[in-house]
Order: sequence, then structure tokens, then C-alpha cells
Amino acid sequence: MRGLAGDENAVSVPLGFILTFSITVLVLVIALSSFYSMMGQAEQTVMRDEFEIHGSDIAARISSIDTTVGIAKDAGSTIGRISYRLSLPDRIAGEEYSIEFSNATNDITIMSGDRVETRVMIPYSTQDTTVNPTILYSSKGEFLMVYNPVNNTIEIS
Amino acid sequence: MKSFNDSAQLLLIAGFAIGVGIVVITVMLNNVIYASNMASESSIDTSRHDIANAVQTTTEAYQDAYRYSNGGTYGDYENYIDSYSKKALQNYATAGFTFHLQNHQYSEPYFTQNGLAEGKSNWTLVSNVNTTEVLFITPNTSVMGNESNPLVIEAVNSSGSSLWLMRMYNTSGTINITVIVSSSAPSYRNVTAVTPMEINVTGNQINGVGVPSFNYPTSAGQDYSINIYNGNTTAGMCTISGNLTSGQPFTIMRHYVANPTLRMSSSQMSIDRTVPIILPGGVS
Repeated sequence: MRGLAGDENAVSVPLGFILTFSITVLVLVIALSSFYSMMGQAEQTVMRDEFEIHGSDIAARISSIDTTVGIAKDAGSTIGRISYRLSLPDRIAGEEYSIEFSNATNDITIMSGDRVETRVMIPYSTQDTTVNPTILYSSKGEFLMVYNPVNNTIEIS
Repeated sequence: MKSFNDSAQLLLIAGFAIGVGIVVITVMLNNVIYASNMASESSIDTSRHDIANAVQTTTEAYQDAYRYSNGGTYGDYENYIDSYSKKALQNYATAGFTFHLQNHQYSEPYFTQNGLAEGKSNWTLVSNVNTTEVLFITPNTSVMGNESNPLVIEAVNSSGSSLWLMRMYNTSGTINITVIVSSSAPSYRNVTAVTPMEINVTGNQINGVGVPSFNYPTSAGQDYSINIYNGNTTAGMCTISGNLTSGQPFTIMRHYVANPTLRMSSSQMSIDRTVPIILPGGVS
């Protein structure tokens, strides 16, 4: 009984090759599939990060208009118009997205498609004005935030 | 182990795995860093502060212009505003803003907080007063409230009790002035309406002629505020000076009100608002 390692009976070169090749393919397939799933998760994380940053930016602008209106009202001045140009990317991580303003919950909801995994809600607050509820779609790219002194609302289109 | 010596499959597999790992890490890191930088870049916006600064400097410039023109020469006042406008335009241009001021004219103020007819009509002219040295009221008798909407000027102490109250209104050409000191029986003065009608409250004179004392508490021995009610019914000038409880002297002069329109715009935003300014305002 010699050691198994030294026993070269039943050794087949083609079988060895097939075994090595299949193990290589298996390892590659596992590596690639985990890579894709990681990429998918990274994409959603990136989306949520970006949505949060853009949402906070929009909330800051809403506050900015609200503060400006508050200061002007306090000083007893009349406001003819305040408008902000808002540039947002058409696509984030290769996907278009929607931005919903709700004045019932005072939230900006941003999501891509109807995927719940990408949904981000950012709160905003106003003291002297109200935001007109609306839904925007990113494909437009350029948006306008306008203060309407007649209705005392911020209209985003 | 001898059988593996002449084969490099393990090395090959390890090589592949390391290669794939590097690609994954590079792409993921790249995505994350790129995303954060791209979005945060667009969120820097300081225009709100620029507008607040512009309103403040404009208010001061109008008040300085009025003082520079000695309250009379409109040409001097306008020249001052024009040169301020040009300087401000140049300054804000470097910050990426256009700056435009129009409608410089001033007019007679109402006794409202901002001087305009639609301004706040019940308000505090000055608070924490220790002594009042001068109080001149020059109402425009042709723009004056009636009996149901009289102009009321009241000195109130910190606990809310009335120390002194003056009520005035116009009844078909007669100006009725009522003074009530510390809720005692009111005293009346009826004066035929003349324009201008200068009431020197602290000196007890109307148009330079002595009248029965208004009993104004020049030194009440306590901290008090001067409030104005129904300011939107009556137009006119007013000057008050004295010392605050802190020991600091104060002077408020309300001769005119200007209501210029300020327009500013940058590549991102634009604003169009009026800036009500009392002239010459507070003088230190």
C-alpha cells in the first residue's frame, strides 16, 4: 500500500483537464454573478445617495424662497417675482426618475421607475408659503421654481 | 504534490480571480466617488445672502442720500442714488448678479411701521425708553382718521399699563386731540385744521403757540414703550429723541418714505421686490 499521492494508476490527462476546466468555469461564473449583484446594489445605493443630495438641494431652495418671502413680508415690501432655475440630471445611474412634491406631508419623494428600493423621501419646511403639489419627470432637465405672490405659493414646473 | 508541479492551472485561476476583483473594486469606487462629487457641486447657493445684503445697503444708501441732500434738494438725492446704483451694479456684477433699482421718489409717510398706507398699523415705534427729550408730531390734517379711526400714540410701561395716550382725529376741519394720563379723566384740545400742523408734545406747543400741557411723561421713572395704533388712517411726519434704558441716546425721524423696486438676477435666480425705506430713519 503506497501513498495515494504517489499512485499514478487511473490517471487520465483528459479527465484532469476537464476537471480543472470545469472548476475554473464554475469559479468564474460565481465570481461574475456576485459581481453583477454587487453592481446592482451599488447602483441603487448610488441612486439613493444622489436623490438625497438633489432632494436636499431642492428643499434648501424652497426654504430659501420661503425665507426671502418672510423677510420681505416682515419689512412690509411687495414681491413682484422670485424665480429659481433648477437644473437636474436627466438620468441618474442610467435611469430616469420622478420627483413628487406633497404639501400634505411636506415631503419631496424621489424614485426611479416604480422601484421601491430607490425611493427617497426628503422633508422640507415652509413658514410663510405653501408648495403646490406636483410631480416632475427628470427627462425635462431644466425646472423653474417660481413664487406666486397672488396665491402665496411656490410653483415648480 | 509532484503531479501539480508541471501544471499552472491554480496560478491561472488565482490570476483570473484577482483580475475580476480589481475590476469590481475599481468600478464600484469610481461610481460612488463620482456620484457624490457631481451632485454636491450643484448645491452651493449663496444668493439669499447677496439679496439680504443688497436690501440692507440699499436702505442705508437711501437714508444717506436723504441726509446728503439735507432733506430738501431732490437733485442731490437722486444723484447720490444714481451713483450708488452704478457702484452696486459693478460690485454685484463680479458676484454674477445684475442689479437694478428704480422708482426713487419719496412721499409723505403714514404712521404705519414701514410708512406705507398698507403697512402694519398697530406697532411699536420704540421700546425700552427711559427719557424722551423731543417728541414732534406733524400730521397731515387732510389725510387723517375720523372719530371711529383715530390715530393713537400711547406710552405703555413694561407691565402693559398706559402711562400716557394721545388720540387725534379730524371732524369736518376741526382736529380733536384727546390726552389721557395714566387712565385719569381725558383732557381735550380742539384745533382748527391747518397744514402743516406741528404738535410739539414735549414743548406743549402747536405751530409754535403755547397750549395747555400735554402732560407727556418725559421721564416716567420706568422703562416704557411708545406704541402707535391706527397708523394707516393718518399721514404725516414724526420726530422723537431721548435715551434708552441702556443709557444709549436714540433719535427716530420719519420725514418721508421711499419705496424703490429692486431687481436682481443671476444665472440661477431672479428677484423683484420693493424696499420700503423711512427717511431719514434712525439717526445715531
